[in-house]
Amino acid sequence: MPALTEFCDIFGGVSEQAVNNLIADFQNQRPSLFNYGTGTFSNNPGRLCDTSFIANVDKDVQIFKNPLVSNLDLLAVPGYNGPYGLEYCFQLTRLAIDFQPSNSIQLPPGLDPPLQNQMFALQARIAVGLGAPDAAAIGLAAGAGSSGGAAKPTIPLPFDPANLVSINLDIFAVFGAKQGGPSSDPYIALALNGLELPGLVPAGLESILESYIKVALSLGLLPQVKIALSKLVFNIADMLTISPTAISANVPFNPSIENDQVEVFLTLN
Amino acid sequence: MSTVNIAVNANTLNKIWEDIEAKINAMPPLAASKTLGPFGIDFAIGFRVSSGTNPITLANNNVTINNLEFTYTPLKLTLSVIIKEIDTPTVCVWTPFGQACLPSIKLFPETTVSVPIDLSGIFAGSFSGQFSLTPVKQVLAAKGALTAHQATLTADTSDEILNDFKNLISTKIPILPGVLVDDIAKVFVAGVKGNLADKWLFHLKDVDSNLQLIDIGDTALNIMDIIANEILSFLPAPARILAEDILQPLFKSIAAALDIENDVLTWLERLFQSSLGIGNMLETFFGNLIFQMWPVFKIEDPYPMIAAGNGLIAVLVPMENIVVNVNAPQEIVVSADLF
Repeated sequence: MPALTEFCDIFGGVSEQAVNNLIADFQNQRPSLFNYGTGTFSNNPGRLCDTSFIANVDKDVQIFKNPLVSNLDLLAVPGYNGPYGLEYCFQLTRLAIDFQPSNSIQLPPGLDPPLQNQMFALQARIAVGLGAPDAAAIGLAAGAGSSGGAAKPTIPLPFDPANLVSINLDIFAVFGAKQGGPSSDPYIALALNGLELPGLVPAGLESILESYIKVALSLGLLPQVKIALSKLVFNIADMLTISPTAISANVPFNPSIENDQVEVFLTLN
Repeated sequence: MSTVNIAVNANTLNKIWEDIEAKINAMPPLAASKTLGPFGIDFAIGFRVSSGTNPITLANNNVTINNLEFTYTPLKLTLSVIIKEIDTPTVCVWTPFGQACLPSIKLFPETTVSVPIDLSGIFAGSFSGQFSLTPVKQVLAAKGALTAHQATLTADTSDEILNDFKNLISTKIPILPGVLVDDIAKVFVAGVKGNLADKWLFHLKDVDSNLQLIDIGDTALNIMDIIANEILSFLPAPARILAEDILQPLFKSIAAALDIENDVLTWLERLFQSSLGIGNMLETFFGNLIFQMWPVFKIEDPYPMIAAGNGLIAVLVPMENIVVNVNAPQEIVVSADLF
């Protein structure tokens, strides 16, 4: 068996199960990054679309008084000048990763399974809920005066929590890591290779949402995930200075995604 | 398998060794005294370690330290002898007028004669050994009922680690005075003490080691160097450097061929090892104490994968099943499961 440090000084490999466990730890210790809602939901997490996460929240979240749900502003009603707004919630309830080869996420046919070399798949389930007001609540809002030009609604439209309208949406995406930039200042970035929202009807709605999310990821989120390799040079305990091993015939990918794990190769300076 | 693998090659280990070497060279000298009847000996021994290039290799599933050379500096011996008081006897004579006695006269008061000997930088020894890399989990009593996040954020202000080190040193080397035990322990505490979180400490555990207290060849080399420096000191710097460059290979070949035991050196080595117990002390010090007090590296458990920030707690990841494998001659691989 070849040495892991045959072409570097330090090797790090993380299996996909370890990454999935890390994601679960992240969800349990920072639930507010995965659960969002207006006042009714941030003050009463038990009224969210999916409450299964509450039992798994780390006890230190309560000890340190961290929120379970991030608070959102009320949803404004287009054309309405009054002070009322709609309540809603948005949750990322399931997040899992599958490194090449494909074996833990069943990719939809639209993503041409199985995973190709140096690719990884992401599966996420999104739960969205809207606090649908009944006729009496709508009448209450209609009878309210103008909000006087206030930018955002300030009063939630009342709704019956038992009648929360919600939808669960599964998203599948395939990514690859790439190195780019000039040789004097290279960087590592994520590239989106495909995205699917299977089972959404009508098909046109699925296509619209897929296109929107692809654009949002490609232009909005992924460029921010670009990491300059120069920023990855760091010291360990003030005695070791390390940086990513340069790409070569012996190290064609760094990081490398294969064998159900992500591998990083580092060199001492 | 929820495994994380981290592999480190011998080159990295040698970089870490440089830090250990600096810590050893920063230690205060060992000092103690011993009395043998009217004779006494006080000594102070310090070390300067010189390991050369890449002393650490990997073999036989162990970490091997090759030919670590150390010079005794300071090496100061103070030999003393207590000379008892010498008095003349009381002499009495009978006279016609009765007994007349001469009083005792103190000819020589009790005196301690001391002879200081400074042998700093002359004697050299060597050390080599094989060690396994052993993970040990440190759980501080001071942590008490704190949760994992609370422990990560709370500094360890107790003396628990210091007291542990002091107990270890004084148990292994009982001859050392308390002040010295305290000073040595404090040198190593800084590398271990941090917050109250549990930690995995990776120590080198002695499998087989060879400590040569006095290496005849290296000591002879030091003596010849000192003599040459004295003889050549009158020369201007360029000429002295040239002369030293010519003499060094000659000195080294003499040291390498030297295989006789000088009577004085033999006596001193036996004195170190048997009468003073220094042999056992140094063997213990090099083979056990240093590595028990200085972990090669340490990891918090749970590991802070994401630091606290923006008012949110850190993301801590528990680890289990930590295993160390030595993949000789290339690398050490540490594996752990994340949960």
